[in-house]
Amino acid sequence: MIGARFRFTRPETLEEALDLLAGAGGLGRVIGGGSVLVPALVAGQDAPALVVDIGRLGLGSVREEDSDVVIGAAATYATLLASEVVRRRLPLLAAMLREVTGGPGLWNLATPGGAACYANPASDVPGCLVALGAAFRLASRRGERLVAAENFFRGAFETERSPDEMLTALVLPAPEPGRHAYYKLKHAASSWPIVTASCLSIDGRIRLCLGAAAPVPLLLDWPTPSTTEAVAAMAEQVQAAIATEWTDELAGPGYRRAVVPAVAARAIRAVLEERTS
Amino acid sequence: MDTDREAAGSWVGRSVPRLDGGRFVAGEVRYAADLIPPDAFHVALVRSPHARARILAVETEEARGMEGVVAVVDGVQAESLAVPMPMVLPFLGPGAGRPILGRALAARLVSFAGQPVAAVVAESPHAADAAARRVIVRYEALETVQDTEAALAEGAPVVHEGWTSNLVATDHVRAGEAAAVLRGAPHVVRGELHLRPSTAAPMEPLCYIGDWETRTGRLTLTGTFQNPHASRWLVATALGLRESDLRVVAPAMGGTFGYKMSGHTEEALVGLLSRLLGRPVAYVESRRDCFLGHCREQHHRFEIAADGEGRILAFRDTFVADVGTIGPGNGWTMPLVAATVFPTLYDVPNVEVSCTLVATNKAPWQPVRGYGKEVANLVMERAVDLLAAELRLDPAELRARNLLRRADLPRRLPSGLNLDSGDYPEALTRLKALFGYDAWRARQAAAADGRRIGIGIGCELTPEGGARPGAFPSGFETASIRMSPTGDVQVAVGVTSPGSGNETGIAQLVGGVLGLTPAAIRVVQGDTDAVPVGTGNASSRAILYGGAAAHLAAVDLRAKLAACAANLLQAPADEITFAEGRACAPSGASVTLAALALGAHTHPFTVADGVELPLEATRSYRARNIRVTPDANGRIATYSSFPYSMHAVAVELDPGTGRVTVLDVAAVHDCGVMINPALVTGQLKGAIVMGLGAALWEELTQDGEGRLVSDRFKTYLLPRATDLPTIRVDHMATPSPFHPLGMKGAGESGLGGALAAATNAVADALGALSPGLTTVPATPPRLMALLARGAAR
Repeated sequence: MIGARFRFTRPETLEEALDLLAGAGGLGRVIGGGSVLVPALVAGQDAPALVVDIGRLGLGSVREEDSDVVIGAAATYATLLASEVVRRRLPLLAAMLREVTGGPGLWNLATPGGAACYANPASDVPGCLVALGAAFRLASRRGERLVAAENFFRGAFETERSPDEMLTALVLPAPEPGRHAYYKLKHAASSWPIVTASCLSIDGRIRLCLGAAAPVPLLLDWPTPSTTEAVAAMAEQVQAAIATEWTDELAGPGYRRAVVPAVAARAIRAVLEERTS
Repeated sequence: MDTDREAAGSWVGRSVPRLDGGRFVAGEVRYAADLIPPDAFHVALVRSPHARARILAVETEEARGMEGVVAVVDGVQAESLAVPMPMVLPFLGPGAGRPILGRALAARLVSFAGQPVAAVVAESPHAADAAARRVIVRYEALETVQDTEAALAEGAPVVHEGWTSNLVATDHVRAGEAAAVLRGAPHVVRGELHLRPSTAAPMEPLCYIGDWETRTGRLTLTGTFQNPHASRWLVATALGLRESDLRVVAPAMGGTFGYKMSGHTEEALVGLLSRLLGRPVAYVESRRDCFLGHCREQHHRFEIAADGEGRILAFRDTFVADVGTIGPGNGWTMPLVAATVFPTLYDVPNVEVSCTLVATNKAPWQPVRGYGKEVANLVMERAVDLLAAELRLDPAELRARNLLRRADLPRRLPSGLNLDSGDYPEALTRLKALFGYDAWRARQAAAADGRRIGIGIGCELTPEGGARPGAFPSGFETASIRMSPTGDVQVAVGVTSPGSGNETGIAQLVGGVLGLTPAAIRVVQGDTDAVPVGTGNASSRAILYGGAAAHLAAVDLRAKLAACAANLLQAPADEITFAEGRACAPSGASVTLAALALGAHTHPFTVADGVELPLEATRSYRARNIRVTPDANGRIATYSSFPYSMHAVAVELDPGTGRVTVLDVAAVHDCGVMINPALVTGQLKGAIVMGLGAALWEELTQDGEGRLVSDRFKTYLLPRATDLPTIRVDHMATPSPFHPLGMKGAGESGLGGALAAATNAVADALGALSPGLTTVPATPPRLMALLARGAAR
């Protein structure tokens, strides 16, 4: 039940949408699938003056542009799960998408772009996008800019995006290099992610991005290890790299830090052991 | 006539598909919230953020001025419109007559976070919700008590006005000399268990619609009523109505599990507001508010003793339950029930159980499936497992040595309950075969280094057919059957269906008696104007009591029909048989029941000669094996029937993350004679899933101020299908000697056994660290902390 009143618009053009956002100051919200904003409105946790629906802006597609794959901000999980381009050129992203729970009701509405802008530490998308070296295309009346994923996530629920800016696309370098693994720890099927590990093998090096363990994704990089001991040492380094542990209702202080070595080691081993396809 | 039950035409024991199943699958069932009339007003409640506070002022001007708002009622105004709801189960003993929180809106003092202090009524739910956020309530926060130790401490704030302490109730159950035996026994093991709060979490939250008809001065309440007649009594009392001026209607429900038993103060609130405003008024509970209905929080300390041969000599359990505030509902009584179940299925000569129920500044407990019995089974099974470890005996073997044998039954428990029948050792043997117990142990022993597989057993005793004197639920149920002039059969019963399909079982019983198909029987439930007074849904009584009453009524109707058929077919009445919709004489002559019914109504002096018309009968079934005369220990017996079940669970504990994967689940269950095995199996599997959820994931959490933190299904984790393996179940059917049809009741049992087996399996996976497993549920953070402590050693 949404008790608060606000203006809801579904503009036809990006210009119009950006004008509206610019005029709303900090009280404008962009809605994609609404899987975050609508529950927040129902719970009375957010009281915007304006909600801008991006459904008519033509941002729902996946395109190959030179060596990049460009994912529109309004592209849903279902669109990406069905995308041949994603499957072929972004297998780590595809692996992450397959692990997203919520069922068709969520997949058909919710968008990875929206999840990225929400920047909930305990979610799948941020860590995976950082691992993939994604860039965020932000538009406003002031112009357009491209922000690297590593700089986009600034804190828990906090991003580089200004209130007058709108995410229009995720730009991912493709194809993904080498082998990949996505490992997600959660308490049960209905639980949100407790720790995620997105792992890639690139030119003799291992890149690992840990999600949900800290307020922002944590990116690490090593030469490819050759021994089990080396993997264990890497996993310990990942644990040591957590400056501030993320805690929430499902995992209080100490838990994420304690499980990180196991999660990291599993993801690294999965990449090392994966047969090239 | 008894042989007719076993005749070819009988439907007993057949898995007839649910008569109304198609409507549910097709989405055609109308739940309470679907029935809100278009002209209804909607209620939103303003709830206190404080666990204990004085209400200084309720400022409603802004809310009243908002669009669509019809009225804002605060606690002081509500006091002038109704008296408090009484309790479903009046206090017994020294606390008798103490005031409880019987009002829907607090007027001066709030006693738990989330307690309603004002009701906003508006033309739409949105308008009501928006305005509720604009009601300004000024509080003076007071010191609260958030746990039982603080509540019992000297000088603690007293939660309930008019009480002298926070002690709600105590009970002591004794047999033999437990204390002395525990002092001298060769093997004694001690343990403790903290149960964290959990809840029923039905798919459909509460919904109540009050519809006051000014012209007739009658109120109709439609909603999620598990106990329509009890609610009629409570609400009529609160609103000063004659009971006959109040009709309570319970449409199909999306699960209840005890949560929709009577005693929610909103039941009266919608009636009060509808009478005040002259329009229907609807309250639909939010998911968040549904999570306020907690229960189970308690702390047990137990000891168990055995001799060198593994014979259990003594068991002692002392526990304290945090029952929050006391409202009209009877959820707070669950720990009293828990105390009566020990020592469950085991032959233990010396038993001592002491329980203490303590009030704190938390919401009232709401009933939950298991009703305390699941807790007793969990505690007993943990004690037996710890004893097995001490004795270095296989846990299944220790149980086999101590289970009561078939010939030991009937057997009176220390609490006075009288176990009816069963073959507990046989059920355990069958469980081991079904589960593949030895194969699982071999797999566990062969598991690679670092893998932690755990196997757990849980034996469960679930007393059913609750009939506590002075209370509703009570020990009888009534059915009225009527056959119309066209031969249409309708049976109205006082039990309700929580969505379990018991209508189909009742139709099977009636159809079997009359030689009709179950589909030919119309079962009417959940309408106080249309069915005989009854308890509704509680304690697996729908078929156990309601079915038995319907059976009796059908037998009476059949006697009338046999007399009519005898007149028509010129044969002795006691030789008339009923099959395939016909009454048949030994000669082979027969008549359809439709023709017979029409003949009886249109030819009363010939066809119905000697028969008292109409073709109707009302019969009541009163439970047996209930004893209201105290025994030598001063105990009575308030449960009639004793289904039991044996459970085995295999899990794998991930030492790197503390995460538990359920690998296998099996159960053997005995509820006596089953009317519809498919329906029993469905209920049993549901109960097992609830037990596994309670063991591993389900936990309500609060902040330090008593405010709910786990307020959605993302923070209160229910098991999903992908979390669980296929659940394998088998049934035994030992008839109860105390029930005319041999039934013991199905629907509730299975939770405690699964809860215990899963907890024991996790403990088994922890190996030497298992004594540290003292908190339920065994969540990954708790298990990780235990594993880390073990590694640090």
